[in-house]
Amino acid sequence: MTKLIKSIIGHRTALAGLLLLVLVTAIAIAAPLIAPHPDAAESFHIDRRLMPPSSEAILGTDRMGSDIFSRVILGARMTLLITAAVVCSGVIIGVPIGLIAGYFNTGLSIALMGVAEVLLAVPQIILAIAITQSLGPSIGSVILALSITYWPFWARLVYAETRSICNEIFVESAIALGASSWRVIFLHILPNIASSIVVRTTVAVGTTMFASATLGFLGLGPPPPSPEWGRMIAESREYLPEAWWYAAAPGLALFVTVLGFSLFGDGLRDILDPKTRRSG
Amino acid sequence: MTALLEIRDLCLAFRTDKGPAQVLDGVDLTVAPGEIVGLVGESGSGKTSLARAILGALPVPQAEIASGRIRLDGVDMLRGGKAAESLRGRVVTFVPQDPLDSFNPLFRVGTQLADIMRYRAPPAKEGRFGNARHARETAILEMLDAVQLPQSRALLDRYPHQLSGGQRQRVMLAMALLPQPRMIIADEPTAALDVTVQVQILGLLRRIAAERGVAILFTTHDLGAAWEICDRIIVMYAGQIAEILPRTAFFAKSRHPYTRMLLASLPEPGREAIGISGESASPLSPPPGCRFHPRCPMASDICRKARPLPSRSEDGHLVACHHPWAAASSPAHV
Amino acid sequence: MNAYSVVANRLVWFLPTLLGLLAVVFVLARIVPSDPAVLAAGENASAEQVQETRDRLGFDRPLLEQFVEYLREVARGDLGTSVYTQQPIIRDLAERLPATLELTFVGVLAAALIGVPLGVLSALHRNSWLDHMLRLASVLLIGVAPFWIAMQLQMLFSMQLGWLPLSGRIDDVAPEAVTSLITIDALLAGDLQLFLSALRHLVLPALTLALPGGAVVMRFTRTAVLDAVTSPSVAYQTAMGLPRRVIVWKYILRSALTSTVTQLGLVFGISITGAVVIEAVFEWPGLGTYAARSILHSDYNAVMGVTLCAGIVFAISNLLVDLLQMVIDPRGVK
Repeated sequence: MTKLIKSIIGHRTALAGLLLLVLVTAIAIAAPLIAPHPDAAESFHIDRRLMPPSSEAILGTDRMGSDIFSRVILGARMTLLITAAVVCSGVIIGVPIGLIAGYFNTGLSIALMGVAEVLLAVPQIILAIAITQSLGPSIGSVILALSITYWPFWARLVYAETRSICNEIFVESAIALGASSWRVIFLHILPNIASSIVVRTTVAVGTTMFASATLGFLGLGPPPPSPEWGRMIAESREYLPEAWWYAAAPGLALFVTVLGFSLFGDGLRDILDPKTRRSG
Repeated sequence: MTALLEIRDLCLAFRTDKGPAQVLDGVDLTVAPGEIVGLVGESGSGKTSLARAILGALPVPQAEIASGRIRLDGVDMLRGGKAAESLRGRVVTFVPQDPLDSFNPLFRVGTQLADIMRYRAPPAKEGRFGNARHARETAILEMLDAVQLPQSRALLDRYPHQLSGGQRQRVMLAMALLPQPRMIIADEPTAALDVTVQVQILGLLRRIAAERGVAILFTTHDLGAAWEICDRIIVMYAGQIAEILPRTAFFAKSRHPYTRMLLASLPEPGREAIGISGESASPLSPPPGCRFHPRCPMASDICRKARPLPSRSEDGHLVACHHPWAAASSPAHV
Repeated sequence: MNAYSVVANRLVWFLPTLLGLLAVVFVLARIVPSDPAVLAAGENASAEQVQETRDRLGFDRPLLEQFVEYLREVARGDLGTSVYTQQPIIRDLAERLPATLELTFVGVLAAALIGVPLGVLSALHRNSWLDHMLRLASVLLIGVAPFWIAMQLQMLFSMQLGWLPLSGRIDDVAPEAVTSLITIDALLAGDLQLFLSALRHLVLPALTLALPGGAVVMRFTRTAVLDAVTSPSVAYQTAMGLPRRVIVWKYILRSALTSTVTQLGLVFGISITGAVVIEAVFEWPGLGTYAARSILHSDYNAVMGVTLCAGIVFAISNLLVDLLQMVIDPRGVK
């Protein structure tokens, strides 16, 4: 573990990503304290509509007269919350399904992986839009819709890795020595595929953020006046190009957050997966 | 007779994360025209790096040649620039260790042969109509015949993965011969092959060398294979030359304890193979004095302090050891 | 595997997958909180009219029965009628699919044209400032949300500079539909003006797809070229003295393209996903806008039609990638 931390610190890309992530997370956690006008983030101030950036509102105000800077940093909480929930449930659903289907390899495996393949057979976003629409726009339905559509990515990866590792000598010998199935799965297989899962997860974080912002952008995310980045960008479209600052702030916030994760993920892949190291 | 290949005091290091690794240390050797020389040693003894140094195929950023020179046919291969480049693939060619990996899997065997022929071989004698392409194909087919690949025309249309291991190595041999070289460097050419095919390929190498007067520098960890075909054997240990044996000294007269132990580790009917205990010397921190001393049964104080200087006897037998086994031609000196 | 077994294998998986997909969407559509019969009967329908619609469309029968009935209709080529457009859904799809295909195809083509040369350049000048700049640019582009790129492009090129149209697919009446790809139809009709107009409409949405797509292609190509450069076959060709230009532009490029083609299928998939939201921004009359609108209006027959259509397009693109890979890689599909 300390070795991993050392290599992350020694890896420029991973370190840059990590620093961005720490920054974004810190802002999200401390958002109510940092936001200059937290009370003005979700209420209507007709006299302050669409003001360009100034000393009073450093990123300007939106169509409701709310302080965009406050909304953007409060929005970080929402984005991180949705992403964390979706990624966690993706891992919690997908990894065990992949492990079980891969290890036991019975009719159940075919059924489970069949469901996964079905969900992967169509653009995820269409499925997610359909589910969110059925459930009505809210944070909960975004999380549920994305969890349902994204777990197959982990399931497929873990399934494939488990299948190939089951043929390795050390797993075969553990089985031959009479270790119980669960023991083999948790002590022999899981530790060996953990790095692939970690790498896949860092990639998934960026994808999930885009997907949740896309749902917000299409009007399916948390309802207004929630400070959701995708919806803020969508709202700004009517006021372009005059209110250029309106879309700029949430767009940049989304960009920085996704960038942090993808840099960190790239670095982590270099560190954990020696096969791809030469691409670095 | 002047030497075709002459290596003097070659020292080579690789830069690694843990500091410089000394891969070759003061290597001297010569190869005469038409001679078959075997470079024998364990993996890590530096034999492959030596072969690569001659071919200019060392990993560029890591490799550092501290001193020494390599002259091939009078050209400095380390600092020769264009002149050295034009020798590679013409005067000296290469048979690699793993023929499957050394082919590009996406191109037909014929295409890859044709490119070697086109860019490296001396212009083929043109036919009456001056069709160079046709002449090249004829030359290729003749060469495939020479390496005992029958029905070679059909072979040209196949992809590398469709050939057997033996066929692939024969094609590699043909590619090495097409430029009509004076020397072939063969880096463990039989390592990837079945035992029966190994014997055939070795026989072919020997015959080709004899027929065409090509010198062969042949690296192997298999002393037995070297015994089969070589005129001279150079035993390397940890980047240094331990012993150079002329053909006459092959069996009874090896004098270096390491060669003796290698010989004893060969399986033979009626005798258990004896392994060599201990680990090969680390190139990062080679032991002082004689590099073999930690594993040597004969080691004494002097072995731990001073590097043994090579002593040469009249028949060309060279040994670098403080306590060599007694040989008829020269007395052991302690 | 030969071409037949590749196609057969895909088909074997394709039908059950499609069936499963339809079942999922079918169930989803029926748990929509709003009553589909109310929507289908229209806004001002009386209670009797709603009941009549419900009977006519069979909304009160068991789910499984409805599903089987639906499948039967699909098998006859009848996807039902859209509640929103009041048109047969198959006709809606036929009108919109070409728009999406045109956009995605141009986007992926542009991504390949941008990504492949830059990837090769980046790999050949590994660790130079050019390589670092290109890699930085690719990380940045992959990190930007597609709809945000779309809006920035609109703001710059349409609103401020006025060079390109803000949205839509064509200014005037569309040319006579032959392929339904407007650019090609305009050329077929010999109407250059129309062709240019269609092209101008395509630029921004296609660029929105191509920027992140090109960044992805560039990364893949760079990795593939680096893999090829460090491969044993290139080491062999270098040792044999083949000219560098032949090694790079004949052998390495071909190896790199083989893996890039496989990745292009992936990029196509990403692009179709991106198309949903990009079409919304550019009001591009394609499948994405149709899907979003159908979902928002609970037009579930249309949603199922879109899903079916997207599944088929996905499957066909995967099949094409498999076949293409088989053509360019003689070792066949992995």
